[in-house]
Amino acid sequence: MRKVHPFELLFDIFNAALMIAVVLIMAYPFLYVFLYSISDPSRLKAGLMLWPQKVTLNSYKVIFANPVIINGVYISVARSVIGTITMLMVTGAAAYAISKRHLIGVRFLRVFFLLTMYFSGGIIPAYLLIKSLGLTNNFLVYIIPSMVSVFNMILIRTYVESIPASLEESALMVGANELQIFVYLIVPMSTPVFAAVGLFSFVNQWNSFVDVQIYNFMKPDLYPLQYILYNYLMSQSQSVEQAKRSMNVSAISPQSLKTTITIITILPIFFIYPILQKYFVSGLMVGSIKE
Amino acid sequence: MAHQLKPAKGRKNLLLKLERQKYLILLVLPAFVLTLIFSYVPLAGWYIAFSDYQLGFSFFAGKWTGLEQFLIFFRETNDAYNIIRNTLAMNVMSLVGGLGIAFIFSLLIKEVGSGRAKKVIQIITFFPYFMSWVILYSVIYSLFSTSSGAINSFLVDAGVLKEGLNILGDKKYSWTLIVLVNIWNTLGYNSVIFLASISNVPTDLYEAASIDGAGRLQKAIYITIPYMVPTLLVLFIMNSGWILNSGLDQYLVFTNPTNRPTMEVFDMYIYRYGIKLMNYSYATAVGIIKSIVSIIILYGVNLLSKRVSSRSII
Amino acid sequence: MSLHLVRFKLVALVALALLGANVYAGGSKDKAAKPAAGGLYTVPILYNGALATVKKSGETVIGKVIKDKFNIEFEFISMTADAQERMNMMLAAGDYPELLRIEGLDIMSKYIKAGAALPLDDYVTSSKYFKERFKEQIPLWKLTGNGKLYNWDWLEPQQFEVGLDINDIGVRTDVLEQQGWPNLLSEDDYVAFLKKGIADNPMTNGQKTIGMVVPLAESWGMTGLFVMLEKGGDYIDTGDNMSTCWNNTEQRFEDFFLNKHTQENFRFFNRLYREGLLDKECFTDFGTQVGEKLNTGRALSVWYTLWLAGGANSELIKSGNPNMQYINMPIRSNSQVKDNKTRPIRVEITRPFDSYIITKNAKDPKRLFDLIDWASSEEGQVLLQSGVEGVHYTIKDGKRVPTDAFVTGMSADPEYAEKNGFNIFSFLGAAKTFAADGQAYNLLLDANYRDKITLTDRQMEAYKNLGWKNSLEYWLKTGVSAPVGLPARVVIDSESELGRLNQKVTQFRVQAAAALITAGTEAEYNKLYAGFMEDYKKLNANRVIDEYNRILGELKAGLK
Repeated sequence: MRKVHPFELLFDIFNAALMIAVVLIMAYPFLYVFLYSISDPSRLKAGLMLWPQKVTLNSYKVIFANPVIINGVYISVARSVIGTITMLMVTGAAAYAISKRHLIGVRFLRVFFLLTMYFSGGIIPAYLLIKSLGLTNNFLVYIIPSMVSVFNMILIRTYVESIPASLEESALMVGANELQIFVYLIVPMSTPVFAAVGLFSFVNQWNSFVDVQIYNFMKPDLYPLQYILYNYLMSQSQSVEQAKRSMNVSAISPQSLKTTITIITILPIFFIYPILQKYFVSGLMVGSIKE
Repeated sequence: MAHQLKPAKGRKNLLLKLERQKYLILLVLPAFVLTLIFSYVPLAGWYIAFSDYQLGFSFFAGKWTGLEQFLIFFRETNDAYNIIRNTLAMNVMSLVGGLGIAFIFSLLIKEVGSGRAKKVIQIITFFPYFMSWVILYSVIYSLFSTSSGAINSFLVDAGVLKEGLNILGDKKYSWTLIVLVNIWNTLGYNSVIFLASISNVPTDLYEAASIDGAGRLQKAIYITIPYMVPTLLVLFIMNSGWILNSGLDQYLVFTNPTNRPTMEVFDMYIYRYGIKLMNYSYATAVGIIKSIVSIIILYGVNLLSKRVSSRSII
Repeated sequence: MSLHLVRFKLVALVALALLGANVYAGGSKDKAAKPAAGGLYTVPILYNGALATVKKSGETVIGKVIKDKFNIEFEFISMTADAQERMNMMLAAGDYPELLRIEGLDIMSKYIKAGAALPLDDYVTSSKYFKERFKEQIPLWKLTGNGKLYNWDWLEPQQFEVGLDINDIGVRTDVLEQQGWPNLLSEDDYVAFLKKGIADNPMTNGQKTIGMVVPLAESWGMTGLFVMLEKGGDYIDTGDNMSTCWNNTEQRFEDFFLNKHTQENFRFFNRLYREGLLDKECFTDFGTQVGEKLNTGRALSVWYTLWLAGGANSELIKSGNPNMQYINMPIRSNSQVKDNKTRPIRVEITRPFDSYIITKNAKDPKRLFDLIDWASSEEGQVLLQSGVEGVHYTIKDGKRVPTDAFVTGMSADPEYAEKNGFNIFSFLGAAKTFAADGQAYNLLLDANYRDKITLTDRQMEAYKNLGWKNSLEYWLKTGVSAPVGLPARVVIDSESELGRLNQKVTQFRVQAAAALITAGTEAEYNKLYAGFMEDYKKLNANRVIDEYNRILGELKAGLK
């Protein structure tokens, strides 16, 4: 047994204190938002809020009274799950392929993918393209355009490059092709990065509403939860005329509605994260091949 | 004679290669086609930067104006100077601070003894990623507003300050405010990526090091960090290409009349003088300039990385 | 790279180019099938924000009458993006609905130029009521369409006495009571009032009291600041909030920044700031934050954004502080009080930021227009604005009297208006005038019922104690109708060089205001002021003003 160095103890205490501080800083805004959402709007004071001001669940009641919400949850879950899985498949496959330096045109492909992160044709060309592909007023507009994420592709590729080549060579020698290697070897070994990327994608899908606003706003059946909630209010009025008109629409203060939206929005993280947590541990590298 | 032979052999070689790599090609094909369609086809829209685009007409119907929109932008440069300075300052500081702190934070998380505590910390640090800027502004307002913000009130009552600091309004605090908010926002996100790379480290390496008598600090420096560095570099290089980009949502809430000189960023400029004025030709032209500069910066930083650490993402 | 790879890439490039050209060369899409003659015609309507309960107009009381009569129903689709961006996007993609609201003359011209808006002249000539109702508007509307008519506006025509929409200062009534119900008017009045108000009420509900709040962080916040010039004298604002203001007496555009009342505006706010009366956070406050301060009664007064005070009043009643409610009170600069001229109140002859068009995607434009024509009639307007006889009003001695259900519904139930179909048919037009029976179409704007329905008890009590006959008495007394027709139709192409200069000049005014208002001392103010005057001269803003006047002249000639 190694003796515990006094410095180590000091460090551990310092680390623990730091972690607690960080957690507080990260969590406080959500505590604030949560308390706000259950407080009575007329009693809200400025400044630090550590407990709710006259609890009322009115905001939640008004929102969940709307039957459209259930459909919204379906759509949100569908797009988050399907979108994430398809993204992982398409982007992951490509990431593996371009990690192979002997692939034909690999340098071209790398640049081809990389550059897309830094330019854009503009909102109108994007819209016209989506429209001409028949993806407007269509569920698939949530899925297809985001199947390729170059940022995640590069992350996965970086991770995959650190898997020893000998493993793949052994697999090739027993007659496996690259597709089988990808599915049965690479993916299981890269669970940490796939879990991380999957998490980002899930969160993004769950929270997106701009694409709904632009492409699917004419089809209420396709509204995900986020969009329905944002529909209750306009976050910032762009003109005085709009400002004057928006104030009378809902029976609740817009602010408490906004915070209620935030709380409902982050709930899924509590469900998804524990599921993905176990993949964050090291993959099947225990007892790796001895060189 | 030799010339005649080469093309034939070349073609045969090529076909052989394609045949051998058909599975790899299959793996990359879907992404390739999708990227082609969704990222490259819309580039046809760049045509409107060179023409007099009229809303409602086909892109190619506008009268050709050549580089006129670009020249207009360069003529406005004395106004644009401030804006570019603000954008670069805030983005560079956010990037360096954000990645650096996340890097160190990930190392520290790893040192936390309890597995459960680790999970809780990870979940909670991820929260900020979910917050919309409009709501976040309310939270920051409740903390930092001049007369009623919690922090300011506390400092005034404690006698440290005579009057609350106008953090949200005063232009000398803009950069600090934005950078701190950005670091807060991205800490969880970046840490997750770093932690994924940390979990890639084979555990027997740590065991071997213990046997050799290495302490925790040495393990961190000689084992963990080297595994994290590639990720750090990759993140840094990729983000460097975005150094001129700013989230419009974020700046729409934080920019106000009193801090505009230091808070206004490039994307706000494009929004205000291009999109809001329905001047799509101008907005696209400036966007093209932004893309070109971004890619130049990207290649530059990548080259630097190649020289210094022989790591490149291209 | 081998030759074949290069060739392959070239082929790919060409294919890409062809694909791009196909996508973007623009083709028209097929029009949806026309509904059977007399069959149910459902028209989608884009609605800014969201309706809480109504999805189809036929669900409402008024909507049902329309459906039974015309077999036309409207489906409300909510639109949350910025209205202007949405309009641009729709035009670019050809994806606009049949009936569309257009905000602004520049977008209107773009729709007309692109052929997206249908010319309505034939329908208008054969119309029964439309051309009579809008006879003053039609020639002005035609100016934008190069002689052809494409649109109609909401809330037209207007009469001065009906529905004065005044937003001066919202003041907390309990403080007025404390100080013996002073009839505040001048800058000095307000400064004295606020000072004493804060001295007497340093804390409100456990927080420090603020003198005046205003949401300057909003995109329209700073421009909403400069409204002193309309409080009396010769000037009104033109509505576009750019670099010009309108001199109603001389009938010409003038520089907004150099206007003497604008300068007084700056000085007034600087004075409030130096006296510690102006909320120091006003520059970083959005409507939400100002609303919070009003909801708790923390602010003694609010500038211009009276609708936030309206919301606050309900909150104050709920929280048990009904005496702190706010009422609308007038303000004038000291020089305006001295000159004591009338206050020109803008009566809009056209409303370019609330226009409606029938687009070329309309399945049956004639049927739509028939409905709009009928809506312009006496019968139509009474239905749309007053409701159904027997349900919302009864007739006594030839006058419409609102029913009790209507009164309680409108004042207490936030969903009453929507469920019954009020305020959701703005696209059918709403005349802000008197009906044939001498009352306003909209009973809420009628002098006899306006206060009773829209004001709370405390507000009525406050006005009574101030000696006012009704909540609009001051403005009805000092106000004169200032009809604005042509000036509102002047627009400079935003993509032109002058359009950019217009933007720059407007921005300059905003930045100068921020600096001037926060000047710490009178000396500092004067120094800054001199500096800004110097810089402003360099901008050559008069080029923009001259252009406005020139275009105005052109439009006048075109009208003849």
